[in-house]
Amino acid sequence: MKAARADKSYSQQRLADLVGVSRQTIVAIERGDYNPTIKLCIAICRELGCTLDDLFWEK
Amino acid sequence: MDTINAIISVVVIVAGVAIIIATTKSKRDDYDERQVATMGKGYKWAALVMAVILGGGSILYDTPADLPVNAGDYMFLTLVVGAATFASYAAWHNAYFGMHERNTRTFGILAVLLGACMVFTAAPSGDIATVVYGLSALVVGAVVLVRLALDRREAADEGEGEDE
Repeated sequence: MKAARADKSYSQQRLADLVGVSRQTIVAIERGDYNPTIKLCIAICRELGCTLDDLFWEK
Repeated sequence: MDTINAIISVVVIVAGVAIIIATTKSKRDDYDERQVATMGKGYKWAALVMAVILGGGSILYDTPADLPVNAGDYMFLTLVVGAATFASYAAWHNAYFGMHERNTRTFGILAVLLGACMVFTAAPSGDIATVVYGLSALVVGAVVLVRLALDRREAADEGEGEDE
Protein backbone atom coordinates (compact mmCIF):
# COMPACT_ATOMS: atom_id res chain seq x y z
CA MET A 1 0.00 0.00 0.00
CA LYS A 2 2.90 2.31 0.75
CA ALA A 3 4.24 1.78 -2.76
CA ALA A 4 0.85 2.49 -4.33
CA ARG A 5 0.55 5.63 -2.23
CA ALA A 6 4.03 6.74 -3.27
CA ASP A 7 3.12 6.15 -6.93
CA LYS A 8 0.29 8.63 -6.49
CA SER A 9 2.59 11.00 -4.60
CA TYR A 10 0.17 11.10 -1.70
CA SER A 11 1.38 11.72 1.81
CA GLN A 12 -0.12 9.66 4.61
CA GLN A 13 -2.07 12.70 5.76
CA ARG A 14 -3.50 13.32 2.30
CA LEU A 15 -4.62 9.74 1.89
CA ALA A 16 -6.07 9.79 5.40
CA ASP A 17 -8.07 12.92 4.59
CA LEU A 18 -9.31 11.41 1.32
CA VAL A 19 -10.60 8.22 2.94
CA GLY A 20 -11.79 9.88 6.16
CA VAL A 21 -9.51 8.42 8.79
CA SER A 22 -6.64 9.71 10.93
CA ARG A 23 -3.05 9.70 9.66
CA GLN A 24 -2.11 7.25 12.39
CA THR A 25 -4.62 4.76 11.02
CA ILE A 26 -2.89 4.85 7.63
CA VAL A 27 0.44 4.42 9.43
CA ALA A 28 -0.92 1.42 11.34
CA ILE A 29 -2.27 -0.21 8.16
CA GLU A 30 1.04 0.27 6.32
CA ARG A 31 2.95 -1.23 9.23
CA GLY A 32 0.57 -4.17 9.42
CA ASP A 33 -0.47 -3.22 12.96
CA TYR A 34 -4.12 -2.78 12.07
CA ASN A 35 -6.45 -4.78 9.84
CA PRO A 36 -8.89 -2.34 8.24
CA THR A 37 -12.53 -3.17 7.58
CA ILE A 38 -13.50 -4.02 4.01
CA LYS A 39 -15.23 -0.63 3.79
CA LEU A 40 -11.97 1.19 4.49
CA CYS A 41 -10.01 -1.14 2.19
CA ILE A 42 -12.36 -0.29 -0.67
CA ALA A 43 -12.11 3.44 0.05
CA ILE A 44 -8.29 3.22 -0.01
CA CYS A 45 -8.33 1.20 -3.23
CA ARG A 46 -10.60 3.75 -4.90
CA GLU A 47 -8.35 6.64 -3.93
CA LEU A 48 -5.18 4.85 -5.04
CA GLY A 49 -6.73 3.46 -8.23
CA CYS A 50 -5.98 -0.15 -7.30
CA THR A 51 -7.94 -3.32 -6.71
CA LEU A 52 -8.23 -5.08 -3.37
CA ASP A 53 -5.98 -7.83 -4.71
CA ASP A 54 -3.31 -5.32 -5.70
CA LEU A 55 -3.14 -3.80 -2.26
CA PHE A 56 -4.13 -6.42 0.25
CA TRP A 57 -3.55 -9.87 -1.27
CA GLU A 58 -0.24 -11.47 -0.42
CA LYS A 59 1.35 -12.92 -3.54
CA MET B 1 -38.92 29.74 46.82
CA ASP B 2 -38.68 25.96 46.93
CA THR B 3 -40.71 25.77 43.71
CA ILE B 4 -38.36 28.18 41.94
CA ASN B 5 -35.35 26.21 43.12
CA ALA B 6 -36.95 22.99 41.90
CA ILE B 7 -37.69 24.52 38.47
CA ILE B 8 -34.15 25.88 38.18
CA SER B 9 -32.74 22.48 39.16
CA VAL B 10 -34.82 20.70 36.54
CA VAL B 11 -33.82 23.23 33.85
CA VAL B 12 -30.13 22.87 34.76
CA ILE B 13 -30.33 19.06 34.69
CA VAL B 14 -32.18 19.00 31.34
CA ALA B 15 -29.71 21.50 29.84
CA GLY B 16 -26.79 19.46 31.16
CA VAL B 17 -28.11 16.23 29.69
CA ALA B 18 -28.81 17.96 26.36
CA ILE B 19 -25.26 19.34 26.24
CA ILE B 20 -23.78 15.94 27.06
CA ILE B 21 -25.85 14.21 24.36
CA ALA B 22 -25.00 16.86 21.75
CA THR B 23 -21.31 16.81 22.59
CA THR B 24 -21.12 13.02 22.67
CA LYS B 25 -22.78 12.70 19.28
CA SER B 26 -20.49 15.21 17.58
CA LYS B 27 -17.38 13.66 19.11
CA ARG B 28 -18.39 10.14 18.14
CA ASP B 29 -18.52 11.19 14.50
CA ASP B 30 -14.91 12.30 14.69
CA TYR B 31 -13.40 8.91 15.49
CA ASP B 32 -12.38 6.48 12.77
CA GLU B 33 -12.79 2.70 12.98
CA ARG B 34 -9.31 2.02 14.41
CA GLN B 35 -9.79 4.64 17.09
CA VAL B 36 -13.15 3.17 18.11
CA ALA B 37 -11.59 -0.30 18.34
CA THR B 38 -8.66 1.09 20.33
CA MET B 39 -10.99 2.88 22.73
CA GLY B 40 -12.72 -0.46 23.31
CA LYS B 41 -9.40 -1.96 24.40
CA GLY B 42 -8.81 1.10 26.56
CA TYR B 43 -12.13 0.56 28.33
CA LYS B 44 -11.16 -3.06 28.89
CA TRP B 45 -7.86 -2.11 30.51
CA ALA B 46 -9.55 0.55 32.63
CA ALA B 47 -12.12 -1.99 33.83
CA LEU B 48 -9.36 -4.46 34.73
CA VAL B 49 -7.37 -1.85 36.64
CA MET B 50 -10.49 -0.72 38.50
CA ALA B 51 -11.38 -4.32 39.35
CA VAL B 52 -7.91 -4.91 40.79
CA ILE B 53 -8.00 -1.69 42.84
CA LEU B 54 -11.51 -2.40 44.11
CA GLY B 55 -10.54 -5.99 44.92
CA GLY B 56 -7.53 -4.73 46.84
CA GLY B 57 -9.74 -2.24 48.64
CA SER B 58 -12.24 -4.87 49.67
CA ILE B 59 -9.40 -6.78 51.34
CA LEU B 60 -7.65 -3.72 52.83
CA TYR B 61 -10.78 -2.25 54.37
CA ASP B 62 -11.54 -5.55 56.11
CA THR B 63 -8.28 -5.31 58.02
CA PRO B 64 -7.85 -3.20 61.17
CA ALA B 65 -5.02 -1.27 59.48
CA ASP B 66 -5.23 2.54 59.61
CA LEU B 67 -5.56 3.47 55.94
CA PRO B 68 -4.67 6.94 54.64
CA VAL B 69 -7.97 7.44 52.76
CA ASN B 70 -11.53 6.65 53.79
CA ALA B 71 -13.65 4.18 51.81
CA GLY B 72 -15.56 6.92 49.95
CA ASP B 73 -12.37 8.59 48.75
CA TYR B 74 -10.99 5.19 47.81
CA MET B 75 -13.98 4.56 45.52
CA PHE B 76 -13.59 7.94 43.82
CA LEU B 77 -9.85 7.37 43.56
CA THR B 78 -10.58 4.08 41.79
CA LEU B 79 -12.73 5.90 39.24
CA VAL B 80 -10.04 8.51 38.61
CA VAL B 81 -7.29 5.91 38.15
CA GLY B 82 -9.57 3.93 35.81
CA ALA B 83 -10.29 7.05 33.76
CA ALA B 84 -6.56 7.85 33.65
CA THR B 85 -5.81 4.31 32.48
CA PHE B 86 -8.30 4.63 29.64
CA ALA B 87 -7.07 8.11 28.69
CA SER B 88 -3.40 7.05 28.73
CA TYR B 89 -4.05 3.92 26.64
CA ALA B 90 -6.20 5.78 24.12
CA ALA B 91 -3.80 8.73 23.90
CA TRP B 92 -0.78 6.46 23.39
CA HIS B 93 -2.61 4.74 20.51
CA ASN B 94 -3.82 8.04 19.00
CA ALA B 95 -7.44 7.36 19.78
CA TYR B 96 -8.24 9.89 22.51
CA PHE B 97 -8.73 13.10 20.57
CA GLY B 98 -10.50 11.92 17.46
CA MET B 99 -9.24 12.25 13.91
CA HIS B 100 -8.54 15.96 13.94
CA GLU B 101 -6.65 16.01 17.25
CA ARG B 102 -7.81 19.45 18.26
CA ASN B 103 -6.23 21.11 21.32
CA THR B 104 -3.98 18.11 21.96
CA ARG B 105 -0.93 20.06 23.07
CA THR B 106 -2.98 22.45 25.21
CA PHE B 107 -4.65 19.50 26.93
CA GLY B 108 -1.29 17.82 27.56
CA ILE B 109 0.36 20.93 28.97
CA LEU B 110 -2.63 21.77 31.18
CA ALA B 111 -2.84 18.19 32.50
CA VAL B 112 0.88 18.15 33.35
CA LEU B 113 0.69 21.56 35.06
CA LEU B 114 -2.47 20.68 36.98
CA GLY B 115 -1.05 17.31 38.00
CA ALA B 116 2.26 18.80 39.12
CA CYS B 117 0.49 21.50 41.15
CA MET B 118 -1.73 18.91 42.85
CA VAL B 119 1.18 16.62 43.66
CA PHE B 120 3.48 19.34 45.00
CA THR B 121 0.80 21.02 47.12
CA ALA B 122 -0.72 17.82 48.52
CA ALA B 123 2.42 15.75 49.08
CA PRO B 124 3.80 17.73 52.05
CA SER B 125 0.50 17.46 53.94
CA GLY B 126 0.24 13.74 53.25
CA ASP B 127 -3.03 14.03 51.32
CA ILE B 128 -2.69 10.70 49.50
CA ALA B 129 -5.95 10.99 47.52
CA THR B 130 -4.99 14.35 45.99
CA VAL B 131 -1.49 13.07 45.23
CA VAL B 132 -2.98 10.14 43.31
CA TYR B 133 -5.37 12.47 41.43
CA GLY B 134 -2.42 14.68 40.55
CA LEU B 135 -0.28 11.75 39.46
CA SER B 136 -3.13 10.52 37.24
CA ALA B 137 -3.36 13.91 35.51
CA LEU B 138 0.44 14.07 35.26
CA VAL B 139 0.68 10.65 33.62
CA VAL B 140 -2.11 11.37 31.12
CA GLY B 141 -0.59 14.74 30.20
CA ALA B 142 2.88 13.26 29.83
CA VAL B 143 1.60 10.44 27.61
CA VAL B 144 -0.23 12.95 25.41
CA LEU B 145 2.83 15.18 25.03
CA VAL B 146 5.27 12.32 24.35
CA ARG B 147 2.90 10.79 21.77
CA LEU B 148 2.48 14.18 20.13
CA ALA B 149 6.24 14.67 19.89
CA LEU B 150 6.75 11.17 18.43
CA ASP B 151 3.96 11.70 15.90
CA ARG B 152 5.33 15.03 14.77
CA ARG B 153 8.77 13.56 14.23
CA GLU B 154 7.28 10.62 12.37
CA ALA B 155 5.12 12.90 10.21
CA ALA B 156 8.14 15.07 9.41
CA ASP B 157 10.17 12.01 8.39
CA GLU B 158 7.32 10.65 6.29
CA GLY B 159 6.57 13.94 4.59
CA GLU B 160 10.02 14.30 3.04
CA GLY B 161 9.95 14.26 -0.73
CA GLU B 162 6.21 13.77 -1.06
CA ASP B 163 3.62 15.93 -2.68
CA GLU B 164 1.57 17.84 -0.09
